[in-house]
Amino acid sequence: MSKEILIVDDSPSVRRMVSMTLQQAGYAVTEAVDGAKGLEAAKAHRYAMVITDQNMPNMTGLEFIQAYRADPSSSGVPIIFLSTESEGGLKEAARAAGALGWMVKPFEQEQLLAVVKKVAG
Amino acid sequence: MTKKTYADLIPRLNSVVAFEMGGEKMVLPTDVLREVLELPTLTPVPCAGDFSAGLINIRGVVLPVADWRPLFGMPLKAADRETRILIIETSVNEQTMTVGVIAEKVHAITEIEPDTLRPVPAVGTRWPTGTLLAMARWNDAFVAIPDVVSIFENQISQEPQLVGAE
Amino acid sequence: MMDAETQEIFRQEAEALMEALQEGLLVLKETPDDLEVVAGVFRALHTIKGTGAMFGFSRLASFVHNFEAAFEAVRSGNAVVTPELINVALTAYDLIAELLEGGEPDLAKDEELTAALAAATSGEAPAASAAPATSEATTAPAEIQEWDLQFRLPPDFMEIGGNPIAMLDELRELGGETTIVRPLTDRLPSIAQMDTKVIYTGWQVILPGSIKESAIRDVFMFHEDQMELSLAAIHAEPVASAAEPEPAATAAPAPAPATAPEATPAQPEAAAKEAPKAAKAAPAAVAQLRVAADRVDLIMDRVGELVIAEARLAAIANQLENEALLGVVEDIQRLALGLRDSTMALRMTPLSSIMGRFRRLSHDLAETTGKSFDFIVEGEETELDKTVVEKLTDPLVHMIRNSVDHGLEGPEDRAASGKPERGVVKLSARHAGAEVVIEIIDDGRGMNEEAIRKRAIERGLLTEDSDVSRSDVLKMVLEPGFSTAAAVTALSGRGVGADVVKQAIEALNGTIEIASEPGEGTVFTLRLPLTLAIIEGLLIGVGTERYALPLLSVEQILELPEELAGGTSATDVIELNNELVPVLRLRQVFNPDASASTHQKIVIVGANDTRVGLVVDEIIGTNQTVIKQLSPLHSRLKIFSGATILGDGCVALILDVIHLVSLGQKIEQRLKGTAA
Repeated sequence: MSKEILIVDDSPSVRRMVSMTLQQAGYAVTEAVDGAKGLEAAKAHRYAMVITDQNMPNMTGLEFIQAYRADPSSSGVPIIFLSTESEGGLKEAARAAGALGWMVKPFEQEQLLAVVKKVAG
Repeated sequence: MTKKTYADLIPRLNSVVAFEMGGEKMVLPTDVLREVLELPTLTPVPCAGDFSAGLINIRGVVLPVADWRPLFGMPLKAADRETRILIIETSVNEQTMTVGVIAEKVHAITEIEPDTLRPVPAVGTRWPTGTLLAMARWNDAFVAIPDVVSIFENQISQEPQLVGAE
Repeated sequence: MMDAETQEIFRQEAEALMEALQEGLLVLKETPDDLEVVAGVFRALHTIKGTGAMFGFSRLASFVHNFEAAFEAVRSGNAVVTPELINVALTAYDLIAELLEGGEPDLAKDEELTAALAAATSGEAPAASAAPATSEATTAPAEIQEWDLQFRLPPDFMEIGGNPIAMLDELRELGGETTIVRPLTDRLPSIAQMDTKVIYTGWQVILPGSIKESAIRDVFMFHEDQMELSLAAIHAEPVASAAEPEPAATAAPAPAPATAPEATPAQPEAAAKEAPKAAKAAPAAVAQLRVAADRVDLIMDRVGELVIAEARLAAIANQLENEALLGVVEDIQRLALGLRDSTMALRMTPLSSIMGRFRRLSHDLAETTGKSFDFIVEGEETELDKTVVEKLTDPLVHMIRNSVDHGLEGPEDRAASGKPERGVVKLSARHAGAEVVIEIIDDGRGMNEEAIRKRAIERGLLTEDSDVSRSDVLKMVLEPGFSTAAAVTALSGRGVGADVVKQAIEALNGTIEIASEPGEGTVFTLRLPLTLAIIEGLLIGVGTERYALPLLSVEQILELPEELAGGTSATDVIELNNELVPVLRLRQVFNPDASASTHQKIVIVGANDTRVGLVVDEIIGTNQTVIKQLSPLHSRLKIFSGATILGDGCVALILDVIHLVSLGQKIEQRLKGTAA
């Protein structure tokens, strides 16, 4: 059984890149197009890891993290959020909300794989 | 025309379909031949010009049928049990075209000896300029090799004539 | 991995983002205080930057970074949206568009625009380049022998999915073989008191001195504020180690109060601004699916086949007169038609998909011509086949440009004629029967028929005694060879970039008409056939053959009137509802040798609000006409718009109503000419 990763990002390009990179490495990837859909997916199924963007319409990554963590089923599920370097105070807010780590956008395939390997195994 | 312009044609001659129209024997390389069919119901296209025999339905696809006999000044013998349609697929003006051509009789799938290739005489033949690629010999008879692309290009560019209504 | 499909996904996303960005900027010009729109612009820029960088557009990413910074100033209230800012922003948008297409404009442009953007948002603090502040603590000159790291992970570490083993592995990897890891068990409670989700163990890790301090801190950076960490450098010389001026960040177990409260108030604010998303600005990524056009065509073909097969089934079922079978056949018919409708909707797209371009155009035109006008759009939800919409873009751009350049007068002239200062250019679209009608209307100076006629004669496009309608005279401006640049202004008429417009409309099998009142304005009317693949058809018999007519275009069916019964000419005319309607005897046109039927009929078809009557031998019935394109061999025959396969497997030609009607008009004119 492959490890399952959830990617929450409104950018089809990012979702595509993450899916292709991780699938080639043997992970199963589920895509969510925004925070609301991501929340739905995360609550419905326990993923080995959740990656979320910050900059999304309807529900930001931060709001997603908060909402997901409020749900007990999120206990022990690592969340990594994507941010660009200019979002200074965001990292602290994300950590306070319950993210495990962050990754800078743009990122290379190898970086993504390294992070996923480290966090999800 | 010198032998060297046949360079493209020669490799195609190892498989040709030999057929007949207006008393003349002709061959076409099978690389443009999709299939050979008996004549189905033909729907005429009014005002299309005498090269157009009409439209047919082949497995749900509407195909045009061309009649080359007027082009070659041949009498239009009525269709009979030997009449066939050669379905030809070729590229004209950078578009793929699939067209049926009426043949009064289909003889065989055969090959042509490249040595027998001859240029079309400039004068004194029934073949209008530019309609044939070359002549050749097969079964002790002269056979004409039509220039399919050129013929179709020509037919496509003809202006339609609307009778009576200008 | 950057395969073609991934590139295509990126390209489409970039296109949608750029569309949203441009739209946002244009809206912002009108409503500069709308923070939602600002947020939308910001989001679009942000995503373009991020994904652009991922796909190798590094120059783009750094330019957009500056662009973003200007808008950050607006978002945070440090700068106000001015028309000037929008104009600069739109120019910046153009540069981004160019870069996205792989262009390599002069680098000076980037700097110029960045400076212009900064100037337009003056007062903004220079974008804090928030490079993660690495505490590159200068290592004490004395060489470090090793590091003594002691830490306790945050209490919620397991809860948030942290993996302590992975953390230790990372440290081991960093430190190499000589790394020593020891657990600190001084805080272990009794088993009974243990909460399984909390880590009570701390760790001491001894790492070689050659490792950079920042590298060690980086491992924990994210959790720094929530955990306990002490990092002491052990020197070779016996120096009192503990009191090193190292920023040994020993935080209280509670989440560091300093940073968190700052983050918290900022966050609901940001959340509040981002939460009420401008629904229209955000491309509805959820609802949409991108499918290659040829896949849709394939489905369309299959549905067409299904409809034909169903018709044949129905024909046979009717002959057999089997109730049960007829019932099922009816069901299949209903399903097939439903499928037809859903599939045809796939290729349709609303005109609004190209409206962004027109809005931008009218904005630019207003700037460059100095004319003030309102650009109004009506019916942008009108749907057309996707390829038609794409092919319409250029001609419409041309015509709008012309309306503004040549149609609209400058403010002084307008004032002098008593017109309101702001002119109006309107683009309206609607469905009318089997056509789509698009109008471009301006309230400008109108076209001078006399001057155009004169010029057309000069140009050899008309002869002195040509008897053409006013509309045809005006249409001369669309003819290639009509105008040169000099002629245009002298005429106060138009050089419409003839080739573009006329050819494009003809290629779409449409027509274009011009109506104009000098001093009042001009209307260009485009009529395009709805290129549906399956239409309701009326089957008619002419001579021995059958033909199909689009049912939507059929207005009336009448018995052949007495006065026409004996006639043998191809054309004629009848009076209908006090109107003279030209008539075409189809049998004379198609197959004069065939004999007439005893009950001929006239089918009155209409398009363009004009009619023509078609004399036919028989009305056979209606059917679902699946349109098959004619091959190049027959496609020049404009009178036929395609072919179809009937229930009995035979082919029938489909008559093109627009061309029949224009033939009718020619007949009428000829008759008027001879009558006069």
